[in-house]
Amino acid sequence: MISEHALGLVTMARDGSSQAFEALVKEYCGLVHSLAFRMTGDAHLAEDMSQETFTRVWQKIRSLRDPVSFPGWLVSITRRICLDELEKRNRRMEAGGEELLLENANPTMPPDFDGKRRILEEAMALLPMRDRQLLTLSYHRDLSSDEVGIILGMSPGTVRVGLHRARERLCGLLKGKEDELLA
Amino acid sequence: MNSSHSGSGKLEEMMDFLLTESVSPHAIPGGTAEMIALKAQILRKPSFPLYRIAVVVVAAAFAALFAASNVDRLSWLFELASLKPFESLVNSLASISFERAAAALAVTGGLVYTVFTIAFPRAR
Repeated sequence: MISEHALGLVTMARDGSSQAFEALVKEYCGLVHSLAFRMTGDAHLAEDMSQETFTRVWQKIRSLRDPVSFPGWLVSITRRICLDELEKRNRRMEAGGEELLLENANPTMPPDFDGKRRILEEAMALLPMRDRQLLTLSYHRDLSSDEVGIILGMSPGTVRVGLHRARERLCGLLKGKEDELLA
Repeated sequence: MNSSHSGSGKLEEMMDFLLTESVSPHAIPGGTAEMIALKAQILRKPSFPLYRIAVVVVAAAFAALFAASNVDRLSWLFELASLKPFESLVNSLASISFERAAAALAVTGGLVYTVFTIAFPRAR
């Protein structure tokens, strides 16, 4: 559920306040960037996708009827932009006779990620796209499992089961790295 | 057994912590969000796309033509709106066949729409 603070920012940004919009970007940039990075596996591309997302948000925020639905709306825009970009890339690769890129097993990390974050992202990159999205969205405080289900086109029950399995898979991938993670 | 459970529990705790942190507001370096917000405001396109203006203009032209071609039947409307001074303009417009003018306007409208959507793709 969206916080009162964020709700106020959305309402003000919808009325045209650029300061409120800037505060909103700060509030949700982590979520948007993480989702874009985990979907594309490319730090630079993720930054471009985040930029594109917030440009579109600022352009269309006046058409947002219910401010409460902002987090879900924002995430849907991010996903759409990333999926379109991945589709374009895949088409280019197909046209060039290269192998279709479905998973991003070797992500290019942003330079500012510390050791633990790098370990997490390397393990995340080995998960299927659906698990990566489930784990990213479900850990944001403003998104309920119902909203995650609507965004990903899954029932709340499937979200819960999927999240449980995704956590197990991620935990399995992180086994053996305890020394670095728990240091 | 206990120690392995406890190790696994700690690992899960750390994993939950890292996943939560990774989507929090301070997950990205300082300055990045400000830069994104600034660029978004610079790159923002007009909220009323130009192609809509073109559609409105073409629709208005169609309405004017329809009125002109039916000038006799609509004369009461022009009188009502005190548009007498424009009667000569209306009469000259009425001399053009409605079908021809409509076809010309449809083609022009289509061209204008195509040009606008190609020139300003993001405005959609």
